[in-house]
Amino acid sequence: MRRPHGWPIGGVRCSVPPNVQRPTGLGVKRSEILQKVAKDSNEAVFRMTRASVPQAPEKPAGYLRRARELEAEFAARSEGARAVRLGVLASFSADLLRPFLVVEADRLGVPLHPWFGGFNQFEQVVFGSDSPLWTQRPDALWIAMRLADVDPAFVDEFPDLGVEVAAERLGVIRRRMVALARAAREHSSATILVSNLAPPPLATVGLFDAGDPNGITHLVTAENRALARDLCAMADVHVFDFAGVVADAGAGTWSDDRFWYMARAGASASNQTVLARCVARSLSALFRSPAKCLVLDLDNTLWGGVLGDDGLASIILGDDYPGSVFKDFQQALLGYRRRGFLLALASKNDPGQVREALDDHPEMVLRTDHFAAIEVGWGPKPASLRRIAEKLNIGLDALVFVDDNPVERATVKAELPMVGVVELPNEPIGYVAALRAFEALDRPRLLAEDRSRAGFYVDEAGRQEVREAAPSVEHFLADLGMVARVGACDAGTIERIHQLVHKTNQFNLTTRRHKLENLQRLAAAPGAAVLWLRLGDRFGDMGLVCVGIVTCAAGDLWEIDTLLMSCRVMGRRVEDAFLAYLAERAAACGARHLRGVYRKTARSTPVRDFYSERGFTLVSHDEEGSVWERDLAAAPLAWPAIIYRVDVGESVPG
Amino acid sequence: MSERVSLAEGLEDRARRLVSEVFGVPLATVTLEASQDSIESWDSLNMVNLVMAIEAEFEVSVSIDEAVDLLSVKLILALLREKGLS
Repeated sequence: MRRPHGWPIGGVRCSVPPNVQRPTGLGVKRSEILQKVAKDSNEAVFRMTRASVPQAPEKPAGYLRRARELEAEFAARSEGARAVRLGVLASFSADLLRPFLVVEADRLGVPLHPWFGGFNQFEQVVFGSDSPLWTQRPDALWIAMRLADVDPAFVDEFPDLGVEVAAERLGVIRRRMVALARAAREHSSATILVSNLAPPPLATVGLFDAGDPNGITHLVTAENRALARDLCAMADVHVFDFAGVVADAGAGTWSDDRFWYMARAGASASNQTVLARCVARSLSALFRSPAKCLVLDLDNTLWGGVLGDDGLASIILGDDYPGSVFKDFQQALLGYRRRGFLLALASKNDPGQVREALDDHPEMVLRTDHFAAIEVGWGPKPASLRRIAEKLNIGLDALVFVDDNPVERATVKAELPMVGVVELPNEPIGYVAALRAFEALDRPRLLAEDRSRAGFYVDEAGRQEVREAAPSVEHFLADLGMVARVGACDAGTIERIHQLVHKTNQFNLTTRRHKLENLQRLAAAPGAAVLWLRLGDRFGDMGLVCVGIVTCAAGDLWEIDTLLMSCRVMGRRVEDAFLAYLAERAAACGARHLRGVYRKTARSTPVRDFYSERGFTLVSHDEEGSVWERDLAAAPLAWPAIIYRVDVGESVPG
Repeated sequence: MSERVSLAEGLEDRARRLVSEVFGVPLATVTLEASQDSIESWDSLNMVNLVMAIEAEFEVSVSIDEAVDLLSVKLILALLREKGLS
């Protein structure tokens, strides 16, 4: 019986042949693009290594002191672990925010190095390619324009303007912000945050402004919506919800007029930390590896009481207090599942009783099917977490631990510092708020596939049953009735492609973390192609699971810059199908030889022998990885017959 | 008599420590004569930091007219004593 593909058997031992030199004579445009791609894909990924968030300094001077300590630490760091460089352009004196930004970002595990443009300088800083902003090579840029700074007369002149003129004045600001973001994107692939406009406080516009459908508040809100629409169309540009931050903190007390008159500082003392915390939180969500699974305890977490005391009768859960508090907590958790987070259970209980509670208790909101993994037993929680991570094939740093017991939380924090731990308060009434405040659960933009991911794991149970019944792997695979859709990257697929490029670790031949903008360039460039594969079988649609990038290295030699696959479809010959597709597309553009590259990383060992197993010849290898080649004319790659193929869209231009 | 002197020292030391932290200069260089003229980072932005720090540390309120006059350690101490601290 043939062994399943995708898994190495033993190593490949051979002597090191001389390196193949890349032939010269690349077209200028292609080589520029490829050089840029190589540079930008070496970005650092910042992981949340802290299980809990350190305390904030109590006083402003404390922030100054702590920020200096941190900045000294960053300066002393080795080149390999550098800080996130943030460029800030603001219509107010943003320099005041520096210590608050550095400290708040550090609390979230993001080493931050902010750079501030000159006061109220936007176009001057963004439009020139030799501007100090761009020579910094920032990882992120924050464009912070405030209505009160940019059009201070707006509110006072409003009664005389009429709705068209008023809306146009706001539109001018919005279009300016969008133009700056676009111009910034020309110069850099940095992540861009653009502040939206905060409606003036109630005291300024009066209690009756909201009753005027064309009043200030509604016009500003409409402009913010237009801004969100405009930015959605751009790669890696996000709204920073300044309006939301101000409203939440209290628009009436946001500013301190003294500080404005003294130094054009935009916020009161306490709101400096609020603003810095929110910016840090946004950056953390955009830069760190995402949390994927909430691991939940049962007793006094999902219900009141201890199941083991008296079975179902001991569970406090229902529509009246205190049971209603737990029921609402379960509803909130279900909401996270809908947003694409997995739920798992880790409980010290009797499995039979737990099964009974999950299946039979009438007040449970969460049922067996809602959990992607269930670990019930009497062993220590860290071991359960390890098993859950392994079963779900995700890293420990993608777990968030939710348990009412401070001793359990401390044990997990000590043994598994990479696991996020929510510090639930003593009173269950505060559980939902604690969850909402937990930064690791922030998600920049929800993709449709995130939403359906939780459902996929239940489908998988159906697939497991078929696997047990089939007499052989081939039979099982054929029985699945797999259908693969293949195509080239376009506006509809690029976000999912980008997501996979960043989060796929195991089945990833080169682990190049291309930025969204790089992917777009490659997709549009002649001599390169960004390709995908979407898989379905008789149990359901598994979504877009393969991403490949092929580029012309020289003449008729093409290289596989990127080849990755979601682990959920390992062992089905999908990788063979996709490789055949990549080879075919390259051949259609003139390739006669195909080069495969394997770059070694901590987690990519499963694909070390990928090319060897598929008849590629080893060209070179060292401790970083290996290079392989195949003559496509002499030995073309075949699409496996057990997977039905559908080609989507137009073929890739040559 | 000696008690009053030691309390006054307490306030002076606290003020000097605050100035050292806000402007990022070593405590030893913050004499009672230190001022905007001797400390380079004593600019308008750092004066906002100074006001925030004073208000948090000493639990007093500083008006804008008082704030713009905080140009030396002596002036800071004068303000604090005016507010009833000693």
